[in-house]
Amino acid sequence: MKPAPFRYQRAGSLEEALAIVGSAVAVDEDARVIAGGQSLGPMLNLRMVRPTLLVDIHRIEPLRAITRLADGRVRIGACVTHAALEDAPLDGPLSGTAGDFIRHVADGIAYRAIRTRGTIGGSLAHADPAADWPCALAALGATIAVVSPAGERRIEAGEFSLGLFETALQPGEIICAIELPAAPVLRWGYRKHCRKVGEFPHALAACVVRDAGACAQVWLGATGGAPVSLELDAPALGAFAALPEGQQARLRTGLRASIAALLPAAVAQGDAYARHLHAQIAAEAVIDACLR
Amino acid sequence: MHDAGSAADAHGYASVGHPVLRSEDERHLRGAGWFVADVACPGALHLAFVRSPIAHGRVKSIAAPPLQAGESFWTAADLADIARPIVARLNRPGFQSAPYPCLATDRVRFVGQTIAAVVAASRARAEDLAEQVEVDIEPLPVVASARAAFDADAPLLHEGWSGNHFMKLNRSFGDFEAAVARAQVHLTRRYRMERLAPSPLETRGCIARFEPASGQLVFHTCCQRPHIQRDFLAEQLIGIEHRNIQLIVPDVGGAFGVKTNLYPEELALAAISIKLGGTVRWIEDRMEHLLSACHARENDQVVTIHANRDGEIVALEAEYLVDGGAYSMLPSTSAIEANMSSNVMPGPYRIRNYRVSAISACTNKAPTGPYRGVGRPAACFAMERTLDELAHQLGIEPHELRRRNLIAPEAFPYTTVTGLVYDSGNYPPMMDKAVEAMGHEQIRAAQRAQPADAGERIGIGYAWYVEQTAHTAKEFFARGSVTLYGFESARVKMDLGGALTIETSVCPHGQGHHTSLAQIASEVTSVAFTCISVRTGDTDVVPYGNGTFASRSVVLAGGAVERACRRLVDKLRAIAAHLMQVDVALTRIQGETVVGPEGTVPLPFARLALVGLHYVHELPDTIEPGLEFMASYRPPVETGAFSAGVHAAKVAVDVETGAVRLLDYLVVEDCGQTINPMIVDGQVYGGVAQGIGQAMLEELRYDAQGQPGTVTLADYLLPGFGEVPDIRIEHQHTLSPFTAFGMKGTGEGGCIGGPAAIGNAVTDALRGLGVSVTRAPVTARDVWSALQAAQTRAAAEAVEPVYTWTPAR
Repeated sequence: MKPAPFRYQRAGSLEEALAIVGSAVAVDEDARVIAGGQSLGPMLNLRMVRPTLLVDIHRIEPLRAITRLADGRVRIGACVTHAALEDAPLDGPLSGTAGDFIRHVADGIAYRAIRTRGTIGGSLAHADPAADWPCALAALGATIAVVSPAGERRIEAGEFSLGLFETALQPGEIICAIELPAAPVLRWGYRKHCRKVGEFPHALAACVVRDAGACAQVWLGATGGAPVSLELDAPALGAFAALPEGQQARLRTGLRASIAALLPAAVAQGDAYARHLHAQIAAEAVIDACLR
Repeated sequence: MHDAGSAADAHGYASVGHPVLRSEDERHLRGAGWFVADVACPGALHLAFVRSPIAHGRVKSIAAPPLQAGESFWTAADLADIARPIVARLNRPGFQSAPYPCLATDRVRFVGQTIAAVVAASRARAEDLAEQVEVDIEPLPVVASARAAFDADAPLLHEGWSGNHFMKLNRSFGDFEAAVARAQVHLTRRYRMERLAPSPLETRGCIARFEPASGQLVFHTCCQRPHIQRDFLAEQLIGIEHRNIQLIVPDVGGAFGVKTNLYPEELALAAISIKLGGTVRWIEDRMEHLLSACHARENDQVVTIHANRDGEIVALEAEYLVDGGAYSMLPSTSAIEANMSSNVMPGPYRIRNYRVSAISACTNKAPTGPYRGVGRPAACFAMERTLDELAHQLGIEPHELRRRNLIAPEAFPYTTVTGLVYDSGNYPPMMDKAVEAMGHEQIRAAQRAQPADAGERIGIGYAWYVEQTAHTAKEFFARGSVTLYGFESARVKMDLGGALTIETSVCPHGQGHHTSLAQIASEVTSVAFTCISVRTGDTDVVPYGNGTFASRSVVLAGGAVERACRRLVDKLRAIAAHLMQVDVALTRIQGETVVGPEGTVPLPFARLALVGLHYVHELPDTIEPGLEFMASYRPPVETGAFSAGVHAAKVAVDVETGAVRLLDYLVVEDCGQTINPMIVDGQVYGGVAQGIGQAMLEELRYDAQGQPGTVTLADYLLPGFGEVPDIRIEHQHTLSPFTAFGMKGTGEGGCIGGPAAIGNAVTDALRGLGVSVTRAPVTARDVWSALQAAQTRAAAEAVEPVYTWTPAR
């Protein structure tokens, strides 16, 4: 379980990283950017990927910062680790309900050892369908900032993942930051189903509500492809917490049924249990958002 | 729970029964352990294997990769003149053996089988070369399951065999037919325990260094039985004698039986090292481990209990069908699982009529072999699950049904229907303890209070086991073993400072022998615990013996240490008596001195050591100089000392997702006199974690073409901290009448009860919903699917009973 031979270059700055990646792209060399290496490392060792060049960006300081911009948006550098997000102080840039959501998601990723090295940008770029960030950030309405020698462009998080290990990144582009909207988060719910702690989930759902009156939107992950979003017409949900227990139970069942009905046919096709699980976990995430 | 970590007392005296801190732990906690991969081997070359990508095929050609200077490539033909194929045998009627070559000759029989080897300067380079080896294999039809092994069109996997089975066994005990005829109730159930990977933290690995000048092969490996492993190597290697091999076992990071086998990889490494006249190193990676180290279990069972309406078991009937994989491992063979299951199934119960068949099938999967518990987890699962079904059927509380069938305390020594001789036991109080400590009645009350449509349901389950430990040659001979493990040895040496070094034949891989054996030596000699070193794992250092497996070490090595220490004490007293000029009968040990009658000056051990080792001119001719004592211990009873335990699990089952949460886990265990209760607890904790793994997570999967689907730990799920709850342990101490201090082994019990206890608890939680657990692991998917099926059944025919009675024959 040793990787196939590759060259390794550590970039000291984003400009340097772009230059190295750019020249590799120019000669059609298979170059990969590596940050924490928590997914890419095992894939290299299993020889599932065989890049000839690894460009290490994890020491680029500006990519490791979390800052609150003047307009209230929060910018999280691509190389911020899950652990740094998990530990982000309540009175820092990640204050408020959105910060709680981020901390909660980060805290549930794999194990602490992995979180100390794995990065938010790396997780997005890797685009494992069962990863937490693609789904969570989509639900949060985040924007992914990517750079190339041509400059920076922004992609909605919900449009960033395109499928299994597939993203909207163009050759030569590097994720530089994740930006969270300034508008406050009213309520949120985040659920996943793992058979064991730290395992990639078999179902994953995030529900973020910014506007009391709006329909609930829930994002589903671990469906085998890009995160899936469902819009629920569920006016009773706003008052869920105040309902008597019996009604809550009925609403839960009803909610799961409506989510199941909305699930695209392609999700876990032919696997009744997996479809049920996705609906159940999504319903729980929505209920959590109602109760929180 | 004991007070963890009490140190030795003020005098440094840590006798038998004290939870003294393990002397091994400091170096491990500091990361200073010394495992095979830590052994410095300057100039060593690294080896990578080329493994079969298909489950069954004929090897037509193997083409070497482009090699550079110093690199080499090896196939079976290159090693034919030095390495004999491994053949595991069992002296039992109908057992079929077949050669297992260290590198495949003409056929491959499972994915992962070694075909060729590449040696290079680094492991990475060796892997680069290995993937360039071109192997042409003509695919043959695949036997992908035990049942398929007996299909009419199944290919015969080994030439000359009468069918695809390692062994078939049919036995009947007592007056079986008459008992069945008189029984009032007959209940049949089917179960399956999936194939597991024993998964020690440290994978396999070895370093072979052949020294052409001396003709010596120094072989570092992580195994459980240094001398046995050396013997096996010597028997396999042509032109190398036993005395030419020094086998060294450094720290071992878990073994669980998987490191008792002689593997083709080890043999290939030794052979290539001899051929090259140099050092070759192979550290197995996790994928290799999951592909090709010994697998275990995969045990299908059909059980019928014939009982009376009051719950008394009148007769027991079982069929075991085990998927043994493609080859038998040396020495335990692929028959070990089915044979053990069939032999131990009656467990703690008074069962006098028993019929069993056990088939060990040969398939195109990796070989199977011993894994902690061997056969007992599956037997326990089948027996204990069925007892719960019977209890439910008869309307008796499961614990009460068990109580009605437990062997009575006054019946010991008790010979089971299959001929096991239980030395001692006191089972009923353990059942009472478990019921009390679990809060059984409170759980029943909480269940009654659950609404009919509760989303989460709780349940409780129990499981009993009896664990044969420290059995020796006669017992292994009776089982048909070719290798007989009759004794263990210890050499105790006192040095000039009056401190002790013990060299012993057992070979720990996490059990804390260095601590327990020092405690026994401290007990006998009264030398301070901290002044006793224990050495293991080097065939040039330790006396001959068999090693660590089958829950035997504390009894057998402990017995040897005790005996050697008594000889030392006798010698010290003899020297003291001579120096005091008194009768030896008037001397005794007190602290680290020998004291004589009034008027004599007590003589410290260090003074006696000086006389015994240096100032031998002070000794009379009748006392031989030297303070080294060797003892071997073969127990007076060879059928073993029998520990017992009952496990109890409380679970919550989420009926929406099928997920099972363990709320409580209790072990009531009895292993006689404990030497170090903290170590016993540790054995229980670790074992239970493995039991939880096989109960809820672990499962090696193969597809219909024999392709493994679980080759990384992302697919093969092992329990972690999140899956193992706080485990509560209650102790009972029923001494063995024949071992030193009355101790019994306890290495395996922890891992036996989990699947049955958890399976029973999940079934108990879902009683009203018509679901019962029939497979380990019990997964959320299984539970949910069973719930759906039960609902569909109930809707289709509301009157159909979920549990069916098997008609009497």
